[in-house]
Amino acid sequence: MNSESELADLKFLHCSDIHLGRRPIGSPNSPYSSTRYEDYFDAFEFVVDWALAHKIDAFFVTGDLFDKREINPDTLARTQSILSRLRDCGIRVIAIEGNHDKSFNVNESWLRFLHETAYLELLSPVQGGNDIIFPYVEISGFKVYGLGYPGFLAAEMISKVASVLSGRNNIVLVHTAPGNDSFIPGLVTPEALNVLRSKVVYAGGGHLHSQFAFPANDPFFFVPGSLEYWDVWENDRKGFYVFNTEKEAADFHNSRRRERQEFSVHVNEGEGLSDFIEDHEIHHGAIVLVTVSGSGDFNVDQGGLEREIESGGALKAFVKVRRTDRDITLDDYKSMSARDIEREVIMSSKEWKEIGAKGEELVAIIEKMKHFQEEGRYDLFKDSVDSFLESITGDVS
Amino acid sequence: MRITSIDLENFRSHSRYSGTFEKGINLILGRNGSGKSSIIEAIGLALFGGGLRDRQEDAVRWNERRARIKVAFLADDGLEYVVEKVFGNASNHELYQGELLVARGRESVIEKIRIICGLQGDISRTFENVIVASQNKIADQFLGSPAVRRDYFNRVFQVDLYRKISTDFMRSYVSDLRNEDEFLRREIAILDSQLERKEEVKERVAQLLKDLSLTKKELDTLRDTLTKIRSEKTSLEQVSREIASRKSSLERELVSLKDASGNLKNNLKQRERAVRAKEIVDESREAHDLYEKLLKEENILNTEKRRLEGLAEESSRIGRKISEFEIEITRLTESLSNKNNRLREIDDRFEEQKIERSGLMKEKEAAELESGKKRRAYELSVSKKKAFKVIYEQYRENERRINSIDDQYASVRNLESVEEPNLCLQKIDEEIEKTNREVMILEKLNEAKTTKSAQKKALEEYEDSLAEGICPLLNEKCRNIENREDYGGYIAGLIKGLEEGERELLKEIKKVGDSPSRLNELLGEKTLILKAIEERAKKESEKSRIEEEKSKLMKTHKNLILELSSILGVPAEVEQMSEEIEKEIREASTELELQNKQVSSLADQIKRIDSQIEELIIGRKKLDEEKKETEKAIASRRTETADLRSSLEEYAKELDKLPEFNTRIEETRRAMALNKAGYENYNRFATLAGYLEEYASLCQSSLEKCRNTSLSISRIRKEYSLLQRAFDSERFEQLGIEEKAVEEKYNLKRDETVSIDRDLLSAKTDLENLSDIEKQKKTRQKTIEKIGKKVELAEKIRENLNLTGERITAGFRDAIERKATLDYMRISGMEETIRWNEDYEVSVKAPEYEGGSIRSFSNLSGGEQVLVSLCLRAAMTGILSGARFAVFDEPTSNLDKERKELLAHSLRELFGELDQSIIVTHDDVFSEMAQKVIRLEPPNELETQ
Ligand SMILES: Nc1ncnc2c1ncn2[C@@H]1O[C@H](COP(=O)(O)OP(=O)(O)OP(=O)(O)O)[C@@H](O)[C@H]1O
Ligand SMILES: [Mg+2]
Repeated sequence: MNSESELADLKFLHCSDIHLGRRPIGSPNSPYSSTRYEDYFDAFEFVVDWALAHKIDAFFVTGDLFDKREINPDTLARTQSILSRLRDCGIRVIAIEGNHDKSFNVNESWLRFLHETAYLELLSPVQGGNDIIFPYVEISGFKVYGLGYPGFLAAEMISKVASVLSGRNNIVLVHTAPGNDSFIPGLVTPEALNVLRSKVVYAGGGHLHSQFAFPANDPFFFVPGSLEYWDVWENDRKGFYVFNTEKEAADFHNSRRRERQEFSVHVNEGEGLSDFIEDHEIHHGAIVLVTVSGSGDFNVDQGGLEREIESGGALKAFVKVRRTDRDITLDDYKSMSARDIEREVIMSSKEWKEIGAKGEELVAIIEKMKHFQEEGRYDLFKDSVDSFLESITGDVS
Repeated sequence: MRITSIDLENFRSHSRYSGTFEKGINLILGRNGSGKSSIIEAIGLALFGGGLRDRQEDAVRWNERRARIKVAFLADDGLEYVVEKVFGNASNHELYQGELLVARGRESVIEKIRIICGLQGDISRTFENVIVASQNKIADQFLGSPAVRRDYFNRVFQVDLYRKISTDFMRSYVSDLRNEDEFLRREIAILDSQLERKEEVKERVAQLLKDLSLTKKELDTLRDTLTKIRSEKTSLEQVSREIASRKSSLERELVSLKDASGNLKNNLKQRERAVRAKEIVDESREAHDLYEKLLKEENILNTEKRRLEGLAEESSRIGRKISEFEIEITRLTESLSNKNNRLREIDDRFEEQKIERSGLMKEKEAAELESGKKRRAYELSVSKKKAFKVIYEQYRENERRINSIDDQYASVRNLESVEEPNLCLQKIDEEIEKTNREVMILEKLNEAKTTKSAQKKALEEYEDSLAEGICPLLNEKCRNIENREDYGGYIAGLIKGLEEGERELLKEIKKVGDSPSRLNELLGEKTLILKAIEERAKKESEKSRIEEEKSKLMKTHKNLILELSSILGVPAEVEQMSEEIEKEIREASTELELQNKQVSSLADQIKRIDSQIEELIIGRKKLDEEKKETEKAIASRRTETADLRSSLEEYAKELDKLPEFNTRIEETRRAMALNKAGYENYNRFATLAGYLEEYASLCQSSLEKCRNTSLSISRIRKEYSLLQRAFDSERFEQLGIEEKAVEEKYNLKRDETVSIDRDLLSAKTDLENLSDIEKQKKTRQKTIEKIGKKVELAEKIRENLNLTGERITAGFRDAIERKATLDYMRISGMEETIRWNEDYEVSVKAPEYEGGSIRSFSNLSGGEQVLVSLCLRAAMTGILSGARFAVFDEPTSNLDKERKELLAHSLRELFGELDQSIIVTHDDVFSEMAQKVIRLEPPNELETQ
């Protein structure tokens, strides 16, 4: 038979954004802080238990194993002890750096240290004579490439690695995720990811803390999300993927993490929140998040309510108040960028709406018009304006 | 973004500079010319490709050839990037992320930075107009004429583009649409004119269909007739073909019969010739054999004869050679005597040279002798100098020692001024003795006093019991006491007496009370004096040692001078002696040199003569060799001549046999002529005679063939006549005529059908085309409709673009105005608002409650202008630059102290939203509010430190 059959039936576990050593911001010496510190280790330990119980073939960590570049001795020692369990069972751990644990200097990298002390294998691109070189490790015929956290260069690095891949038995690990969000730096557009589609059996992403598979049908790029809540307000799916090479399919498994209860309550004018505790069942040790919305004159003592919930057994409570009746204030306006203003003007323009152009589509076409005019590409300009008009005249008729 | 560090090399006044920057507000402080603005320029050049005050080459440090800028910055993705620019006599621009090379070359580096820092448009322009507020230019942007301002800010806001699209590409697009519309209309007109023909074409199709079916029927009947005629004709043709075939086979057989009889005749003739040839051969066989034998003999004789003729030729050649050799021998003998003469000449010259050389040798020896003498003289003076130097150094050392001894002596000598310590000691001892005595007295007095006071105390204590006669020791009545009267009075008297005594004693004690302390003092003094005495004794001995040493040294001094003058031979001053010695050495060495020169010139002459002698010897040897060679040549020529002569004699002997051979050849030739005819006849006919039997059998087979062929001919003739009778040739001819006529008719009809068919097809396609055209017309009409709509929309878009550009500008202005106002109010502490109208004219408006008066920008004081500009600039940076990074060069010139302080307090408000701001200033007032203060020293001061 061909070599494909030799490759069959391997299981690769993929997790990301574990953030070991993290402590919540504020109250550094509180029980809350030390409990949460433990939580991240617990979540990781859970995945490692699973990996050992199911005899997986390799263990991938796609960035942010640590929450910080500089970690304390305790974090190092505990990470070593968890990783050594995998090592003792002969399970290879392949890791890349994320934005949180990426070192500015090779000599100061704890991940590099773990690599050199054989707890894991760290992959990161290196500069060759002229081009960037992508080192890889080979696992039973599959080549695993690690790109680390490429930041704003994500699209470029992905296209570079795509150009060196041959065949399809490749796996690419990169600390990025698909998105068009300019608010979160370090994401990559779906188009840029698509160059990998025909070149890999599996691509492992990270950076975003919620589970995500791309594209929706027949996905090849998987973001498992963080194992624990990095920020308590995160509320999507989180866990790890297990990729089966024979089926060429990835199963998602939930991570074990601290319980989190989220409530949202509405307060009428003139009322307060005196019987919140009676109305809601608070679980012991949970993190409780409450969003209070209301308009007009209502009165909520955020701190008081938080303390009350905590004394009801919660590990920690956060109360957020949102007024539904307030306009954008000058302060909001103050932080608007030129781009925001431009968008705002375009989106709110009555004249554009009159001719049937609106929303993101309009912003995009104007962006294109500007770009092509600047570049002096009348041909492209004409094409895009024409198809835009085509679409709106189509709508009209 | 924010900058983390900068390294400069040979950039402007910085030969080498490194600095780190922090998040937030960074101040660069320093005196004029310390290189503050230069740092800002370096950032602009490396990161944004602009911002220099003059040409790039001028920024290389004077007298250096290459400048290097390295800037590390943190981008919004949390990664650190490093940009490095080298320019001057080499150039390079590179962007790194960690160790990865991200971009190389100015264009791509700047483009990458543009993306990484979230900037838009032309980033060097953004840097120069938005990020940096250059020194002395902060207020400039807001001054100037409205047109200039509008132009400037439209550029800064980068909204010109909207208007440009409207008037450029969008306009082209509309006119493209219009052209398309016109073109389509023209096309429709053409299509319409084509469609007019449609009915006509339809009728024609129907007519053609009818015609076609008619002609097709006629064509069928004709085809049937033709088939019938043809089948009959074919059967007749078959018969005629068979006749023809018989005829041709008959003809073939006749030809072959003729061939066979020809062959037969030929073969008979050949057989006859062969018979005759056999007869001739038999007759001439004998003559043939004899001739052959003779021919062989002749050949042998002829060869021998030719060899002898060769010998004769060789003999004459040898004769020639011998005479040649003889001539050569005479020539060589002459040359030999010539060489002998030359050898004699050389020998004479050699003798002459030898005599000259021995003369020179003698001269040279004399000169060398002299030179030896001179060298010894020189060496003597050198060794004298060495000896002198050794002793001179001893002399100097001695002198130094004398000096140091003198110093030591001086320090010891001043001892004598101190008072004689032994005297003091005596005095002190006396004093001590006296004080000792006093102390003893004091002790005794003290003892007496204690006894007295103890008695007194006992009396006082037991005064009561004693008064009653009770003994304090026995604690019972004592008769002694009991009997005494007025015991109390007695006791009081006793106490009084004791007190009296005590007072006396105290007086005594007072007199000698200080004696113990005095004793102590004195003892102290005494040890001091003892020490002084010891010291003095030490110094004394030191002094005598020094004196002794000095006298020793002085003696050595004299001896050394004596020794030195003995070296020189005459007494003189030491310094003079040293000079004298130098002079002597100099003279000796010049003389030695001169003598050596003389010796070497003589040696040169001898060498020259030696080389001449050498030459002569070599010349003689060569000539000698040549002579020997000539002699050898003569000898060898002689032996060769002798050899040649002997072979000549041998040849002559052999040549004697030649006439005999000639006669033998003659005889043989005669016998050959007799037998030649027989020989030739035999050769001519032998082959033909050999073929006789073969020709006989050939004759037999030819005869057979002739017989067979004539039989087959008669058979074919019979068949042929039978067939000829069966063929009707008239009928055949008629059929041919009929066929042709029908065929012609048929062809005509067929052509007619084809042409009708063709016409029909074309008419039909015509019809199809026309309906196509109809369709085309319809789609064109639809397109025109759509284009109409598009034109309408496009025109609206053009309007909207202009409008949007203006609105965005207004939006920017508005946002900047509001933010600037907030900051301005805070810093100035006044309620005034900043206004910025469509012409970008800045003014400041007082609050309504103060009358709402408006002051234009140019009417503001210099300081106010700077402050308002600063607020506007800070707002502009916040809103227009995605980099959240700003640089201000000397923003505080023209501000009074109070404003400066207010500004300092508001730095956080102005720049707090930014990731980083770098402010160049002279004013220390800001340093408190800054996260980082970088102090620059002027370069020249640094260098001298
Ligand atoms: N290519 C060059 N090589 C050496 N020195 C130069 C070069 N170009 C300019 N300079 C000098 O460098 C010095 C520093 O200039 P810079 O403008 O940076 O000073 P500054 O600190 O901003 O002073 P100020 O406070 O007056 O604005 C000036 O004396 C200038 O003449
Ligand atoms: Mg300056």
